[in-house]
Amino acid sequence: MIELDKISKRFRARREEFLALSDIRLRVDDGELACVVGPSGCGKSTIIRIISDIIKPTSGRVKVDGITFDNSAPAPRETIRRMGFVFQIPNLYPWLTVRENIRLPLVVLGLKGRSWLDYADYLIGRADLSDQADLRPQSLSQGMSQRAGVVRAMVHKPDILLMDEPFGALDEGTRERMNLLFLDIWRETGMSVVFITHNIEEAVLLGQRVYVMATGPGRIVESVRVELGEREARTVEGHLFAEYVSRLNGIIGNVELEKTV
Amino acid sequence: MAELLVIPGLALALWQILVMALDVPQWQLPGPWEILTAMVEDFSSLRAHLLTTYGNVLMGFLLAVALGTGLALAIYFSSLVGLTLTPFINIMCVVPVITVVPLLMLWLGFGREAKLIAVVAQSFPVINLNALSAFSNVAGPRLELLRALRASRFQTAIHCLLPSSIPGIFTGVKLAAVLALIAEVTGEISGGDAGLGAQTIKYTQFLKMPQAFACVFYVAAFGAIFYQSLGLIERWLTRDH
Repeated sequence: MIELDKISKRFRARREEFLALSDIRLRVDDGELACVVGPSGCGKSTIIRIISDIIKPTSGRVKVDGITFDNSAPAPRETIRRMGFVFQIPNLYPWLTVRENIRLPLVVLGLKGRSWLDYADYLIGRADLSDQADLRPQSLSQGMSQRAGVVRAMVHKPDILLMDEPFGALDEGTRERMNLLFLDIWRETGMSVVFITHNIEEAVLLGQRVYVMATGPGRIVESVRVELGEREARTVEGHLFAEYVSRLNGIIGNVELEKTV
Repeated sequence: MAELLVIPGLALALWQILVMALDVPQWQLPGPWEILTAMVEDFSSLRAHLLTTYGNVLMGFLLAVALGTGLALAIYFSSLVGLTLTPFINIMCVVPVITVVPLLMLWLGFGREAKLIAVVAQSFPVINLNALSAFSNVAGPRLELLRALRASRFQTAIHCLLPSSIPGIFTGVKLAAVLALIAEVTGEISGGDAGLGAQTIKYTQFLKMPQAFACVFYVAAFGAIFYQSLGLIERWLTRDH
């Protein structure tokens, strides 16, 4: 379980300080897929960087399966190793093949042995990248690169997957296919996922719980539990789906309205 | 590759024609043919000197690459190391080697050590500065993956910093190759009797100009081949960048 307790983050830029996150309280249960949705600049990406201890919070605590860390106590290495990170831009290294890129976390984490390599190959097949595995990433399409980025984050069998707008740069059709593929993989692995997006439909399609954020300073304004039926979970056209989208749009709209008044 | 030789070939031919047409005395300026003949005929007596010069340049250059890149990594990862070393490296970058060679010879004698130190001292700062600049320009998102995996500094260097920075490092490495050769020949001219620099001085004193020019040609040929080889290595290493 992931818990963020009263997290705030101040950044300093050109001798000026600004509050990027204020009083963030967030909870993701084991095996849950939680989405964080909000406008650009509200600090969504900062939240998962705080969970993965890449960025230290100014105040507040992060708790991952009972292990607490904050700005004075770093996260234990073992806790960090249980996390996988998917970036908005996959940043595959051009001097490595796709397979070598996907295996890189195994090399860095010192996970040796045939079973790890086999698991990497299994994921490559699962992401439909077997034919491209020995090519350089330059020859991949955007969608393929992002699939490689997703399986690279999963290759060391993390319990927690942190995803920073992973499909944000893809076209509508590719994004939808990626979402469905990802849902299948998530159900298979049972990981806890924090999925950052600015796309409300994507948040409703994927998330079991959606945290809605607002800007100035970045804060969570509402948490919505999403319960779609199996049939509706596979399409973005169902009635219930539209209701959730409309409700979330309403929440974000109200926040924007309050800001302008 | 062959077209690269056309212009120098024409220049040499013109040189030969002018020397013959103007009847320039050999002790003033020999023609390329005489120089080429001296290069072949005196090869056996020059072989030891060739090996001295080329060997020192290569060894000093390799030490400079290791030192320049290694210190750049140390400075990149530690601001304390950076604050301590950067002023010295900047000074070394602008001090001409010819001014320190006499001092090195005073301390270390006319042997190989003084020249080797001169080569390293002249060529490593330029590698260091270029490598450091290349490391600093590695895109943040590229490094973030390794940061998220808690990669060690060594792993970060091996898996991301060094491969990402090859073009930048090679800018310094190629400059360093030229500087290494200049430093070695300067050192040989300044003292001692080994190496092509020392032989150039010796032949000039005896007005054996074809032999003196032969030494210069051997230095120039080595420099050109060395530089081009580094360019090829760079192209091969960055073929996927």
